[in-house]
Amino acid sequence: MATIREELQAAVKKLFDDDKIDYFVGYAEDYGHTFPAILTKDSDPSRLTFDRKSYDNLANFLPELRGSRVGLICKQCEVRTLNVLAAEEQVERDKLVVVGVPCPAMLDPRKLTEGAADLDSLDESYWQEKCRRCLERNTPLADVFVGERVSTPTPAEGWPLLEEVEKMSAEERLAWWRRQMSLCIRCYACRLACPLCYCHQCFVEDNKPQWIDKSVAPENNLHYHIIRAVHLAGRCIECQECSRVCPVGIPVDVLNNVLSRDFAERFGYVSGETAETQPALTRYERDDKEDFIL
Amino acid sequence: MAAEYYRLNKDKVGELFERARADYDVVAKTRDANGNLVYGRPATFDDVAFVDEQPPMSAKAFALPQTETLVRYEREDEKIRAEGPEAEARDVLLFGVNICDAAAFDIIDHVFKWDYLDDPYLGRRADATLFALACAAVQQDCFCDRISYAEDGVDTVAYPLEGYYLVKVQTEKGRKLVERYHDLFDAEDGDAEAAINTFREKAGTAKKEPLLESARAGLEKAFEHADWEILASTCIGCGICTYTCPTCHCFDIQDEGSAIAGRRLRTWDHCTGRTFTAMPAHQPRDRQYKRYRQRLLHKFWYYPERFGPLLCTGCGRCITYCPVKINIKELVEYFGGLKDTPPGGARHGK
Repeated sequence: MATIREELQAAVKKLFDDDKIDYFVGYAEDYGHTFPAILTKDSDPSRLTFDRKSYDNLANFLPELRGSRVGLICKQCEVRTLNVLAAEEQVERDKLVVVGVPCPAMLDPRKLTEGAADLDSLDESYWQEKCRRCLERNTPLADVFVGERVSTPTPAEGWPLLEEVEKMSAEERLAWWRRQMSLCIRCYACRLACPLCYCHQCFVEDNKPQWIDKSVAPENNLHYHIIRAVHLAGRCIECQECSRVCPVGIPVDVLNNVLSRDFAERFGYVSGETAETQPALTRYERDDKEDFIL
Repeated sequence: MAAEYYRLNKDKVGELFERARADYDVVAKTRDANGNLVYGRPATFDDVAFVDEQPPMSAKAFALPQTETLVRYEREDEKIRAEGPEAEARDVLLFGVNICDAAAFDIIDHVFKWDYLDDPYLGRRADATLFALACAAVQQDCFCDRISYAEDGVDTVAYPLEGYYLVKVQTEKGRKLVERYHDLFDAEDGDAEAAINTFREKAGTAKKEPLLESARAGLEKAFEHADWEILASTCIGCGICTYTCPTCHCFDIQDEGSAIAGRRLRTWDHCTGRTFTAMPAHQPRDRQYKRYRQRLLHKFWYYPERFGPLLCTGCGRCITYCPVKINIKELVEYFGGLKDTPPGGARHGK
């Protein structure tokens, strides 16, 4: 039986041979890491892979390749991202070839210790938090599906870290955020790894007017993170890439989780849930709760 | 000066730390709120992590802080009062710093004392004493074994041998440190250099051919190589590689405040960013892969061409913390002609 890796490589080769795509965005494996790779028809697909360290949200590369015909591996995270990007008219769905995969749940790199033996057998305690909440492990929307379909466990309820933070008193919580923000180095990797932070000009880079001071200080750092979170209100699809890439381990996504939970509880809204889902802040229903305004 | 060798018993390290705190502003590895290893100012030896593990952030911030006030100003009626940065009061001792972090200072000194003497940097640098701890094993992505940078500017290096640290003293500043606490150190009578060589062989940090210096000739011909686009276009343009790097030293000058009062400051900046140099002129590199190429070639071609050493100590942080795991060593080897296969095998135009 062909492995998922072989099936994937064959599928990609066929897409290029049939002249269906100009670029393929997938994962390659080398020097002990799995990382995103962009291929053209002249590229060698033999190191394309899909494993439990295929962390990156590949939809992040789509705005850059806009206008080209692109094939990409989509996990649930990419699918929800695509739905948001399409609703916001940032991608042209008919130019995309979605390669579906059975997602085995991604591992949390912070929980992996050196030389962890068999990655395939690691249980839930090694998963990324988002994978416990996954709605569908087999890519919906797939134009091509590689590998054997898997069953999706019942999505876990709750937001463990957010709930922990909310248990704190207001003073404790402020102190906790101050500590986290004192670690931030403002590399903006959280923003750049975010597939929905695609603005050509971000408010942090404006200097006329300068919305935010460039010096690295807890209050400036918090200012940046709060505004970014608000810009993602009703859009964030909880892929947690912002937290994964943070070099100093700030759980950036906790801020986004507050808003995601509010949208879920108040409006029964899950961003990017289906291809028909419209952005929350651009639609109106007569029975929307307005208790926080009126 | 000729190197000198001493023994420091492992149970004396705590005492050295505690006593040094009376004479120096001691910086050592400790844990932050999230449990990350950081260079900080632990108050007691119990909070010190005297280990060879690398913190995510290098030690460069002690000579080049991420944010630094250059001048403060205040206007009262028609008078303007301006004050330069406050001088730091005490000598810094970097206690237990990794060699790759310690040796980086000598490399970047070149640029800070080149055509313009950068007083804030050079002042802090002159006041800092480096007490390095050698790695007993290579770290996740590091490659210091492939770069022949000079280590003789590192004031002291402690090699963890069986039962004691073999302390190699290489500069006058290092000698001053040992003399101050001479009762903690014993003379080393054996063949210290042989012991160090054996230690480095075992640790995997002994130099190995081909050194990355030899990639330079190939890199000089590779600027227009077609594969840059495919191999470096996964770069997302964050500054992690440059901010965690012990040798990246670009900065930006910013003003904060109003016409009445404020400050001029410098902050780290990075060539991989979309808005780098956009304020004074424009960002001349219009695609992300060109920005990544700039960083690599600056380290392995332009900087050594101007100053001699590579702008890299092989610490590997730019690989470990890269969100998309671009591997600078592999790319230098590939574009420099030391190996045929590109990382990930995604070769363009095979």
